[in-house]
Amino acid sequence: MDAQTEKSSSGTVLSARDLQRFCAGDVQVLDVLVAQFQHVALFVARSYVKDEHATCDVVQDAFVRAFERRAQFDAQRAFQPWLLTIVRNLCLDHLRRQRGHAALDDVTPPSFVPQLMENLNRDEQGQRIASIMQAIPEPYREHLLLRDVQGLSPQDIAEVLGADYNTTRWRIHKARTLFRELWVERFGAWEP
Amino acid sequence: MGAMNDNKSEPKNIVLSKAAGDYVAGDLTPAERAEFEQFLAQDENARKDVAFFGKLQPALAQYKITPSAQQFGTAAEPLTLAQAVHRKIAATHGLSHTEKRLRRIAWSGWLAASAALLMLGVALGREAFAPRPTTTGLFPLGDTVAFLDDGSAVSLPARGALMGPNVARYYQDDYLSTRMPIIYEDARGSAVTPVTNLPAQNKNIKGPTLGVLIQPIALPSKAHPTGLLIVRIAEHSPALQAGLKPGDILVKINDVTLFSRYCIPHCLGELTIGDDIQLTYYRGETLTAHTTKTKLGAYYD
Repeated sequence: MDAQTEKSSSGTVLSARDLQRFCAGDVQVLDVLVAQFQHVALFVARSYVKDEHATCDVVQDAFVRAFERRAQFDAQRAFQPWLLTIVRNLCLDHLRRQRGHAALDDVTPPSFVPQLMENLNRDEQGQRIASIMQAIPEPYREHLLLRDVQGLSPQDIAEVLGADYNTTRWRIHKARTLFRELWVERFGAWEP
Repeated sequence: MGAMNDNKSEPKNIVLSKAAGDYVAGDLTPAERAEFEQFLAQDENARKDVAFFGKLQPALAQYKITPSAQQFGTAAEPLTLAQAVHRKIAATHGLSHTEKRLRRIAWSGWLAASAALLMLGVALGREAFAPRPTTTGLFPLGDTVAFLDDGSAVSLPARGALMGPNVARYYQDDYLSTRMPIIYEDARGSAVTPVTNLPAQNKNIKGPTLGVLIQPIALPSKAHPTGLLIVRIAEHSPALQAGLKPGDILVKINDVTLFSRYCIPHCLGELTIGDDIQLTYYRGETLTAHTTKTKLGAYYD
């Protein structure tokens, strides 16, 4: 992602100057950051924490923690993956607390697939896409959904899934290849 | 999930001939992108793939989930996420204006106090380690013992020390004053009390003698770093006849440099009663050498 400007899912653009102000401890920049990243943070948090109230708490805490730990943030890098790491860690903390301080291994990793697949089924074109998606094996399907449907960058996906960046990139590539092959096999050329 | 963690078997390099989707999405590195564009110019299928993904990806993006704006805070006081975040930061980190001012005052007070302490320390240190005004005259080597010129020692439980050229008095001492009168001496040689007898136990000395009570001292002179301060002179002694006074500092007898109290008996042992000797000594502040001649005598007899 470009270090100068960072475009988020909401479409607004975060300038490098905003990030510098954030690093300098300017509380007002949080308005910009929250407006820009709350949707992606909520999306990720909701996949981990099913409870709506807890999701809100986690996202709120994530922004507070990001502000507290702004010294650890490198203003030359993208904000979103860093924020999503915090969201993910807070979600895992929450799940661990819920399960009585059980080990991290006991916490079931979230799946982003069900809610995205459900959203695809809302119209005819989506159902055609969903039928192809059903045929793609995991973990490729989840990567493709997160990348091309939800619009997270490969770096974001690596952070929220806790995976290696290069592996993530390759899985997205593989998923796209599979999707193309399956689509041509079933529907021929693309017809929207 | 096991498959996800087991990524060692998965290749890490993107297959360029099938990278149309990654190209359209902008996931390729600049190098990969340039390479793919070269490949694209030659391959018809790749161009079809690019067209496919160019249509697919905007279509997929329509199904993106945008979570609805949540209500934070309580039902009675609904807040936006930004407001909730601000409120939480203010609660945990924010300081009121008064608190900020008080904290600033405390800091400046602390800084001022440490600066004052530092300056005090520097001033005291400078005082403590300042070079003392150098004294240009006499320095005691050890002022509790004086020595007769036969090498024997007389204990001087002195209370005063020899401090520089303007020595007001050498020893004001009850023990010695019962045996010898107190000698007062200033650097100019005035106010010298009459010289008197040396202690009785030395009266049986046979052989050449000068008749002086001496104290080795350090001198600010390269030629003579050590000298023998004359503390007392015996009546009728060769030293008195040579014109020596208490306060003079002997540095040489004939050509022998006196660097220790043992030099006098050693030097005199070479001579016999009645020989001429040359005494080199410093007198007063100017520290110039005087040469005099005398005859050694066994004055105790």
